[in-house]
Amino acid sequence: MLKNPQSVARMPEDEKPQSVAQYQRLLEPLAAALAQRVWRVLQNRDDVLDVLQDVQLKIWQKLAVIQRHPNPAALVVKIGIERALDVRRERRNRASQSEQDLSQRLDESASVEGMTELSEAHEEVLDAIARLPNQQSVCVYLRLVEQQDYFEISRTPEITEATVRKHVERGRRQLQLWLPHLMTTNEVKQ
Amino acid sequence: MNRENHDLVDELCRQLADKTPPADVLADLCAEMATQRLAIVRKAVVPQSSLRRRLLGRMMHRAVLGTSLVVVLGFVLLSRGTHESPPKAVQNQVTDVREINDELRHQSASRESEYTLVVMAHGSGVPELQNPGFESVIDGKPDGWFFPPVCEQAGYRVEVSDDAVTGDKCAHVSASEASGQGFANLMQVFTEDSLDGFRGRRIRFRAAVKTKNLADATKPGLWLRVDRPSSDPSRPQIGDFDNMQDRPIHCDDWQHFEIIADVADDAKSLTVGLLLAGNGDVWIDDCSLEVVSDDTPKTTTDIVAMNPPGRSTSATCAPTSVTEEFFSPWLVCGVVAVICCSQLPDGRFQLFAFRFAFAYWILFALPSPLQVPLSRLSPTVLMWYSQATDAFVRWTAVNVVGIERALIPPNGSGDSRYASGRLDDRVGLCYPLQHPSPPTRFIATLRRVLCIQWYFKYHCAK
Repeated sequence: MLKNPQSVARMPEDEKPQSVAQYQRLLEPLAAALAQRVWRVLQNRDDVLDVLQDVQLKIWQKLAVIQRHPNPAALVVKIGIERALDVRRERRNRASQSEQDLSQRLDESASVEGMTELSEAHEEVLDAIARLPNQQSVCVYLRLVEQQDYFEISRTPEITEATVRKHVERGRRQLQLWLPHLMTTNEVKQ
Repeated sequence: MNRENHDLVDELCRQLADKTPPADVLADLCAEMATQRLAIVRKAVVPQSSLRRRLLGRMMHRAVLGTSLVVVLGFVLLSRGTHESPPKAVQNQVTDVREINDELRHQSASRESEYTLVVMAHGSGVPELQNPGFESVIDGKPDGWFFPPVCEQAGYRVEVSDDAVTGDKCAHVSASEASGQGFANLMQVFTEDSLDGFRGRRIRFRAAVKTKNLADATKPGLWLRVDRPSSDPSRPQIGDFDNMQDRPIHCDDWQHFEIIADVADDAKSLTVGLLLAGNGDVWIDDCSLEVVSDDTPKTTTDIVAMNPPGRSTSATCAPTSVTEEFFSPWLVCGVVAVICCSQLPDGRFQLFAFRFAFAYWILFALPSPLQVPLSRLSPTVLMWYSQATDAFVRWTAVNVVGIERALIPPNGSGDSRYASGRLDDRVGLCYPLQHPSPPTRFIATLRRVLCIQWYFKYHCAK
């Protein structure tokens, strides 16, 4: 399951014993929250495990940077969501290559053990969010799904609150274009 | 802006926020995460032995890279002064007479086993022919000259005749009763101990010859062969060879003919004589064997084609054959593989590059080029190197690649015995041809590398 274990060993030797304890202390309390959020995006056990492994590996590699962050926990969750959206985007790109693949994927995902039923509308919203540009999709997801406020979001991607607002607003507009069938008849009132 | 639409998307997103994994799934994910963390940490804290291995591996990468660059540069320099390969027509002609040469070798070998040496070094240190004028006779046959029994069985006979060009007697080889199969061969052999005066020098074997009653396809001629040490005692390496099959003697009156050849520093034996392939009568007299100056043109054919591929021959011929072997399109792959295995980060590609570089340089390319500088150091060192390389290739064949002998293609180790065996259905690693075409070589080498890769994957992983 470990994709690139050799790259982990490149860390300077003298940092490793201390880093192991710090790494465990950082991740153990966050494990459940991280798994829950990644699951929410992907809804597939294999994909979730892959993302969690990538995220934990990345956290190990960037441990020093993460620990210097004012809110390490939020940053870890943000890394997880970002990676999960990436995977969802890749999955969607693969599936969109042919309609046959898409139907096959839906059949497969429906049969995965432990899979939670999501409505088609939910899937479409998640796919649409994942299609947004990287920074925008994270901001939109954190705002719309995770219900975080703009200030909180602005701390984890380390951008200004105004930029977050702009990302969210543009993302909303893009979702509107991509999801016309979710529009109600009220749209004529525009 | 459509508020209703926003509300709908927001509502869907809010519903998504309420979606949580079942408790058992969440517990499973947390457990898996702990396992992943443990694996990451375990890989991170590298044991000292592993660090040493990694350090050794990097040093080896750099050593291989450095060695390969030195070898490439060395061979670029070495290949400048070498002469060109013999023309195709000459190579074909040499190939035609290979059967005769093999038989001659067999006869001279039997000669060594049956008779004590007839040629002794004189005070000058230069060996001389015994009974060159055929004046000494024992039982009606020339003394000191060997006529193999197999020639007599084939219907040829030798006798001493009075029709001499110098002195009173000469040798007469006739084939009046010959069936047309085989050939006659009257010869003398100089073994290793008696060759000191000829080593590293150019020699001339000269004799007066006349012929009569020759059939159309009969090709009489003088012949000379220099043998050099080989890892296979039953198949000595040819140092130089000429049997005049490209210029057969047809003259009714006495005329002198000569063969000029080089005797290598490490020559093991020298054989000279008269050859009659077919029906007819040949007389020989006034034989001499002497050292000539190095600027005297040789009559021997370039013997690159006479030796099996991958063997080095004389010092002057070796760079050409080895260079051809070395400067193949695979050289680019070998250099790229070395650079990749030293520069790429750890991973599958780096591992593959390392294995490819190992297979290419250690098993395929380096053994052959290194023979050239070693041959200039000392023949003994070259022999040790050949034996060590051969042993290593044998061990690798059996223990790494998992094949029996007779399956390794010519690799420059000096031993081509592997190349003549049956092809193993499972791995099939040997070149099927003596002189394989470039596509055949490419495919065979590719298969070999893939088989080694296969071995590492399925055996070393255990």
